[in-house]
Amino acid sequence: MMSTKHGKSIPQQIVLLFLAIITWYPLIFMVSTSLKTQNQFYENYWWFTYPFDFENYLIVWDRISIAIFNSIHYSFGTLVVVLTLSLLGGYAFGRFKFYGKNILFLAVIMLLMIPGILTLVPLFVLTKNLGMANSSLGFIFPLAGFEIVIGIFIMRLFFERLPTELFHAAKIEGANEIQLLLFVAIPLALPGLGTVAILDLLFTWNELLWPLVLLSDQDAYPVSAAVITFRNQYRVDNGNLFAAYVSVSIPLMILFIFVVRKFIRGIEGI
Amino acid sequence: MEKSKLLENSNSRIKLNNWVRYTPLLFLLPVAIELIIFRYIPSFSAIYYSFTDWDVMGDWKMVGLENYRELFDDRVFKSTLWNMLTYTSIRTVATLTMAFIAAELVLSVRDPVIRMYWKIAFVMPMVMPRSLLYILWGFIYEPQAGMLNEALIAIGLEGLTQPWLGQSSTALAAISIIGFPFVSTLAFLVFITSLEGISRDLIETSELEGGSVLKRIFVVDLPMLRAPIIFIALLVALESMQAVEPQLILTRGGPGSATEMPGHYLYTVAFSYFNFGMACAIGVIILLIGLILSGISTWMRYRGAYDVD
Amino acid sequence: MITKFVTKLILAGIISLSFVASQAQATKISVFLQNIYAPESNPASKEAFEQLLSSYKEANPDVEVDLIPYMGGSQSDYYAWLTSRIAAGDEPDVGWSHWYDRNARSERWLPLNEYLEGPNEYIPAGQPGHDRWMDIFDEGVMAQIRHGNGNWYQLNTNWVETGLYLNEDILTSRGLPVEWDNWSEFIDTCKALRADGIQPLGVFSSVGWSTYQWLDTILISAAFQDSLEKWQLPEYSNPFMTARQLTLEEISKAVHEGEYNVNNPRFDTFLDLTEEVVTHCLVEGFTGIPDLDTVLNLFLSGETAMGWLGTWNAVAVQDGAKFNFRSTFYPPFTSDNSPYVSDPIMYRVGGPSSSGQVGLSISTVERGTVDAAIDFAKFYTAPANYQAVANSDQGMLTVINGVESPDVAKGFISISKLPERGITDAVSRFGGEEFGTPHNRMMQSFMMGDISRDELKEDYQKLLDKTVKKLCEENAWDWCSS
Repeated sequence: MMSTKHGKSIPQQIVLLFLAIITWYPLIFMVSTSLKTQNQFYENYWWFTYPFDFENYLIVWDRISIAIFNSIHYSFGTLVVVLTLSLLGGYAFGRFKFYGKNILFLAVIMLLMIPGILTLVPLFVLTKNLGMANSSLGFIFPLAGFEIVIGIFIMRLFFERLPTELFHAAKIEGANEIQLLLFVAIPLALPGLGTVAILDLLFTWNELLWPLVLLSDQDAYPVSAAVITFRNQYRVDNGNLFAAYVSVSIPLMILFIFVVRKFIRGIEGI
Repeated sequence: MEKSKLLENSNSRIKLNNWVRYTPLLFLLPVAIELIIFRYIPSFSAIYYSFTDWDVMGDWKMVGLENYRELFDDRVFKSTLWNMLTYTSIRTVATLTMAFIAAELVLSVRDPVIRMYWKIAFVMPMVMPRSLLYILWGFIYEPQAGMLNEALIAIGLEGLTQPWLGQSSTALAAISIIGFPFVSTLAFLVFITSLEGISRDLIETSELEGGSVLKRIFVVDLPMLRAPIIFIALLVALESMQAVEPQLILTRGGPGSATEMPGHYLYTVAFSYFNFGMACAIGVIILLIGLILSGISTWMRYRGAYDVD
Repeated sequence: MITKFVTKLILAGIISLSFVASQAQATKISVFLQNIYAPESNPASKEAFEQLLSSYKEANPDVEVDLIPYMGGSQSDYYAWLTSRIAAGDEPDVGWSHWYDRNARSERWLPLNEYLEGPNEYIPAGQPGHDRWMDIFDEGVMAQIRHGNGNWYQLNTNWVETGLYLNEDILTSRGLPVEWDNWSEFIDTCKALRADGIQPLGVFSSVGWSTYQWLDTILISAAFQDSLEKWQLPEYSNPFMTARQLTLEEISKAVHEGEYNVNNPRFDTFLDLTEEVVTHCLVEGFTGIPDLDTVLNLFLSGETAMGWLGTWNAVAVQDGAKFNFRSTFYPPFTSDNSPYVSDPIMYRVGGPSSSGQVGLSISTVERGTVDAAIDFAKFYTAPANYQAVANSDQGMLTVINGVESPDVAKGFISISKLPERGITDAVSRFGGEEFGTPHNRMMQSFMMGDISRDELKEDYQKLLDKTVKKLCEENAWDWCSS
């Protein structure tokens, strides 16, 4: 009764505003802490204190700038692998009917149930034996192995929703399977791939344990691991730590501002 | 590439049928290579180690089901299973409910432009690093100067202040609701796009019949969202089952074993006790529970779904 | 894109091949020194090591030292990193390790005796250590880190010490003493503070490592004081130390013989002392404080009158305290507190489990890097070189003869001369967290009142028996069979 077509929705807006404030508070906390000296932090850790201390950013910038560059590099690599494989896998499961399909799909989805920590040590040994330890390939391929599972899941749902007529029509016109994939499926799948890409990016950007275990050279650290170097076991300077957090979040936020609408639309495909 | 060859094949009808039959498998080949190397081999070797007494260094011997037997004798491990059940249930229900409420509220905004801004407002915080969230909630729950206790004192509820993470009666619930109000999630986005997809006719019919908003939600919206709800519930549940970070950053599984869960227990047994065989056995048990869960949900999700040729 | 990756793969192959080829000329050793080398959180250490490495390079152009920086995060992250590397045979040649490793996992480390007895040419002739490397290390420390089999698996360059920091303003404004003659007076001070609505003592308790463990270790040492000497075995006796910690074998034997047992009335005394200190002194909710940093925060913001922190917090306390403060230590226990205290002893908590304990991986033998690694260790510990590292250290006491401790740590030197508590931390007590973690878990449940004294005793005895049974299987001590 409350919300008819022309009805006002003031109470809803207030509740939404309240939810938004709570949702945004961690970000505000992150920014305000990054502008504090350690003493200011002890005085008041909830809100901004004056004067702002920008020195934290200067201190962390050397390490963080390298890490941001590394993360872009790793993210790009993972993105290529994840998108290619999610597309192929999702397409195969979503459009075709074949013997053993459900079993195979279950075998892929089963991987979601395997805790990452369980395979940490065997995976490291394997990566080392493949000569990939301390390299970006050792970062990209194992991580992609985790990310493509959900990617395939999403792309399967996406392809299942596409009308079959499109493919039939193209087939009648004489297109082969490769052409169908390249010229019919991929253009239609772009919104879905965009969604997978964003989820993948968030995952790669924030993954902590694998780079920490894989890499010994801090100049090769991605952002998540680089931030942790400011969290010394014996002494934490929260200003530095949070300045590092803010610095690594900014590139992702900028990107998000540009793609967020597309990302939201892409979800419709699921 | 080998395009000409492929074209040649398509000229022959018999070969075409074979080709069609194997097409999906060919598409799956690169996926299979990636997954076999980087997921299945490590996973199966971990399963193998669960039957050994491997301590990461040097030799090991097969011990059969000894690790599993010991685990089910272990009072702490048994409590981790209950804790996991509680934690996973709270998080799944809370995430779904809050995301659904937020989605319905945003949907009630009729102006599509403003609605988009609300969506963006709730999606942007997704970029925030997760470890940061746990550090922040550590400050919130801190017993002396923590935000929650200070807020309670400020509104005159001094009697309700608690050492939230410091007592077994509240610790598990406290870590379960970290991330409240759970709006900045995939769940919210999936729900809102699914709700937008419900045909206007259905909604208008419901409104014309004089049904209330609540009635519409239960009669129209929820049933229409069955598939996405199951999908999201599975994702949230699986993620919660494997939780390690809240314990690593906040509680180390304590106090006592109040917040200990199989994922973090695995971590402790592997990297603090160096008892890798047993750690792997814990992982296998998590896997089995996840398999049962996903079996149920896959069956629910795909019951009646059609395959496209 | 795919081709790009193929190219990368090939490139990676070429690089690794050329690496193998170049190895013929240069020996490469990897070194991990925990947070002694933490370039991000302690920039001073970065400068110190840049200097040190370049002068080492000058003296040894054909040795390449890969110094691995401290990764931050928690200790368990380090262990995940290390464990994976051990499994892959790729752990650092020279590496940090928690001191109990010398007992529980000695097979991982190279015995250093013959090198310690040999000369160290990096020390000028005529100075101690030139003829016998061992001579530059503190005798007491060397005695304490010696393995029961007579071997040394580690070198210790620094020493960690804990300190009880007091907010003098809070105490003196209430007419309360800032020094106590005995434990009862300390408890009385706590009571007075609590009656006044002030949280007395900041510590935190966790299932893993925590500062509650420090309390646990001095309480149990007081409760069992009259037994400790009886439990000592002659082969571990140590002329340099009047009071020393029990070794793994000694404490295990005490369990085996039913001495360290929940039915021993001394165990009840330990539980009484625990209950007393929890009720009167410890900050409320101490079982929910995640880390030492929060304890520091509580102390600096005036929420607690005292904070039990480390020497390494001295800088932060100096910079952050807006009140008069001092650092002190706990007063001695007397027979009023425990009937088993024969002569009042003031225990300190600290010791070789610091950031400066390094050993050589046993894999260096296979890799052929032993000589280079030993050479680097000799260079690194030579007083003239180590002084710069010590200066950049964050509040650890240096235990190399001829090297001065950093200024901030000097206030703790008197504390470090106090007698060592006889029973060590739960985590180190039986050589690892496999005992320590469940111990802490049970004690937490007991302190919070979740389990009764009888339930605790039942579980605790099971844990003791299980632990010692396992240790007996691993070590085959001769008393085990009886």
